[in-house]
Amino acid sequence: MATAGPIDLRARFSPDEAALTADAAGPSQSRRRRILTFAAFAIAVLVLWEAVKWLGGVPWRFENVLGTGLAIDHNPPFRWALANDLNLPHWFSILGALAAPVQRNAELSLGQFLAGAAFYTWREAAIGFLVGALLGLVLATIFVHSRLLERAFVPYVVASQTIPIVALAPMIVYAFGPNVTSVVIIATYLTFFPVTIAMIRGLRAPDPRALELMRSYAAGRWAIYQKVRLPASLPYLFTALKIAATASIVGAIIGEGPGGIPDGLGRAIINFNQQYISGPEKLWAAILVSSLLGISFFVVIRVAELVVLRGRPGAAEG
Amino acid sequence: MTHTRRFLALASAASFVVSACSGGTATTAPSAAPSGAAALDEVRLQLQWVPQAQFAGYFAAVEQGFYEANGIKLTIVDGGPDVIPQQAGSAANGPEFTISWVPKVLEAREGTPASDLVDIAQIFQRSGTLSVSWKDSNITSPADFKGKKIGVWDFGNEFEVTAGAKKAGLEQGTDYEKVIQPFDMTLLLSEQIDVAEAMIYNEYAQVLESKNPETGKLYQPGDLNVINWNDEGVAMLQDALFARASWLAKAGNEDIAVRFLKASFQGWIYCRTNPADCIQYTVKAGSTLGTGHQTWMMNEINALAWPSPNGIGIMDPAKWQQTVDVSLGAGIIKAAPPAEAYRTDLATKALEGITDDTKGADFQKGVVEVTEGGN
Repeated sequence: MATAGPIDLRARFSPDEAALTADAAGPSQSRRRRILTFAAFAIAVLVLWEAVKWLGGVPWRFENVLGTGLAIDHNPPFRWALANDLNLPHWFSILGALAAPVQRNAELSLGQFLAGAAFYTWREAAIGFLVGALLGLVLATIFVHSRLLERAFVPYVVASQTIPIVALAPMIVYAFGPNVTSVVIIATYLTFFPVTIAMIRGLRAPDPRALELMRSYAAGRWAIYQKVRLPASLPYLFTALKIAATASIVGAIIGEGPGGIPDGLGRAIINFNQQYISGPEKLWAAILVSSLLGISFFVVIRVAELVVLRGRPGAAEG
Repeated sequence: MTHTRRFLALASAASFVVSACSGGTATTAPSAAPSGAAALDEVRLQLQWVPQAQFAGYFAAVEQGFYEANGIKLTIVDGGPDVIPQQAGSAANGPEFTISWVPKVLEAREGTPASDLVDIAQIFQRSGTLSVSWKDSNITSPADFKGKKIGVWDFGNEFEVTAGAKKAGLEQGTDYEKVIQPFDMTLLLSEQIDVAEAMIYNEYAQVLESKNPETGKLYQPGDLNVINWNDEGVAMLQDALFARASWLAKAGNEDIAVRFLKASFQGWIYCRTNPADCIQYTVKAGSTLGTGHQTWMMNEINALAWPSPNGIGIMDPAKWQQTVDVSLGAGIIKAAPPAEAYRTDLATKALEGITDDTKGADFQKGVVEVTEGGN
C-alpha cells in the first residue's frame, strides 16, 4: 500500500484529468497582467474618488498636500452630501492621517500604531482561526461518517450562524470574562462554520470508484479517510480557510469591543468612531488597516494553497 | 519528494500561525503583583466606557499609588459597546465596584433578577447632559422642541431630554419627533435632526473641534444653542460608584470599600489640583485619544464633580429625590427605591482619613483652548 500514495489514487480516477492543461500564456506573464490590471483599477478608483469631490464636495482648502507644497483652493460647483468631507474624506487626507502622530507629541505615527494594533488583533484571530478550522474539520468528519448525526446537527450548525455576532459577543464576554479568551472564542465561532460546510462537501468529493477500489482492498474507514477523502477535500478546505481567515479578523475586531481589549484594532475603531465628526479620516485609516490585515491573512492562506495543491488542475486560479 | 515538500510547506505555515498563538498568550499573561506589598485586597472597578478623562480620578489614584497605600490592588475593567456596567456589576462574580448612572441602576434594581447595587459614593454632583442645536433653528428652551426632530441616545441615556420635553407640555410623537441618534454628532452636522443630545465633556466639544466645511474654520460656541438640563429641573445624577449589597454584607468588605473610596477620592482631589497630570494618565490609558479633547473633558469632568458641597462622594438628598421623581415620571421605575439604595456612611468614613480639601468650594472651571480634531 505504501506505493499507492493518496495523490496518485486521486489523480488516476479524477474525471478532471483531461482538463489538466496549463494556462496558454506563461504563469509569470499572466501574473504580471493581473498586477497591472489591479493597479490600473486602483488608480481609476482614486481618480474617480477625487473627481466626485471636485464636482460635488465641500470647498478644497489645502496649503500643502501631503508635504508636496501643492496648494489648492477650489469651490466645487455642486454640493452632494455623500461627497462632503464627513462622508468621503480626501484619500490623501487619510494617508496624511496615517503619517501624523497618533497622539500629540507621540513618537509613533497613526500608521505605525495601527500596524501594531493589527498585529495584536491578528494574533487573536489566528488562534481563533486555528481552533475554528480544527473544530470544523472534526465536525465535518463526524457528519460525513454518520448520516444520523449529520441530519441531527447540521441544522444547528447553520442556525449558529444566523445569530448576529454583535448579539452573541456580549454573551460570550459575560460568560468567559472580558479578556482575550472571549475574543478568541468569537473568532472561532465565525471560523468553524465555513470549514464545516465546505468539508462536508469536500470529504464526499472523491470519485465513487476510488472509494469502491479502497473497499475492495478491505481498507478501513481511517485508511479511506486518510488516503482518499482528505486529499480529495483539500481544494474545498482551502476555499473555506480563505473565507475563515477574513471572518476570523472580523470576529476578533468585533470581540475586542465588549471584550474590553485596549491593544487591538477594535479599540482604535471605537475611539475613532466616537470622534468621527472631528476626524473622519482617522476612522477611514483604521478601516483601511483592518482590510489590509484581512487581505494579508487571505494571501497567507492562498500561498499555502498554491504550494500544497501544486500540480492539481485549477490550483493556480482563485 | 513532493510529499515532503508539501508537508514542509504546511508545517511552516502552521508554525507561522502557532508562533502567533504563543506570542498572543505571552502578552496577555497577567502582570506580576507589586513586589514587597503586604497582602493587598484585590478588587475590580468596572468602567462605564473605554478609558477617557471621565474616569481620570481612578487612573490618577492608580498612578499615584493611592490604592496600594490603602491596601488595595485595583484592576480596572474597561467598558465598551455592548458592555452594560450595571449588569456586569450586578453579577455575583462581577467587579466589586461599578461606575454607572443612578437612573440606570434604579431601573436595574427593579429588573429580574433584581440588581442589589447600592450607590456608595456620588462622584458627579451635576449632570453633564446637554441638548444642542444650530443657532438659526432658534431652539433655546424645551418648549421650542414643538414640531422638531429631537435626537436622543437610547439605553437609558435619553430620559432627561424626554422628561424635559414632557415638563414643557410636549408629547412625544404628536408634538415632536424623537430620533435615536448614534453616539456621535453626525446627525446634527448633516442637519438630519434639529436637536442633538450631547455630553458637555464629550460630544459638545467634538462639534467645536470640527471644521465648518463652508468657512474652513472650526465651529464656534456662538454657532450653537445649548440647553443645559441642570437648569431645567430635570437633571438626573450620573457617575457614581456602586457595590453589591450582598458583597458589602460579607465580613471585612465594608472596610475594603472604605479604603477603595478613600483612594478614589484622593485621585479625584489630585485631578482637581493637577489636571495636566491626569490628562497624561488618561492619554496613556488610551493610545488613540486626542490630547486636546481629553484636556477639554478633564476640565468639564472636574466641573461636574467640584465643588462637592458635602465632601466628594456624599449624596445630596435633594438631587437623589429629583432623580427618583424624574425616573418615576418618565416610567423608568415603577416605585420609589428603598432608602438603602444609597448610603453615605462608607463615603463619610473614607473622607475622615483625608486631610486635603474634600469639597473644592472655590473650584472654578478653566478655559480650554479647542484644538482641531481634538488632537
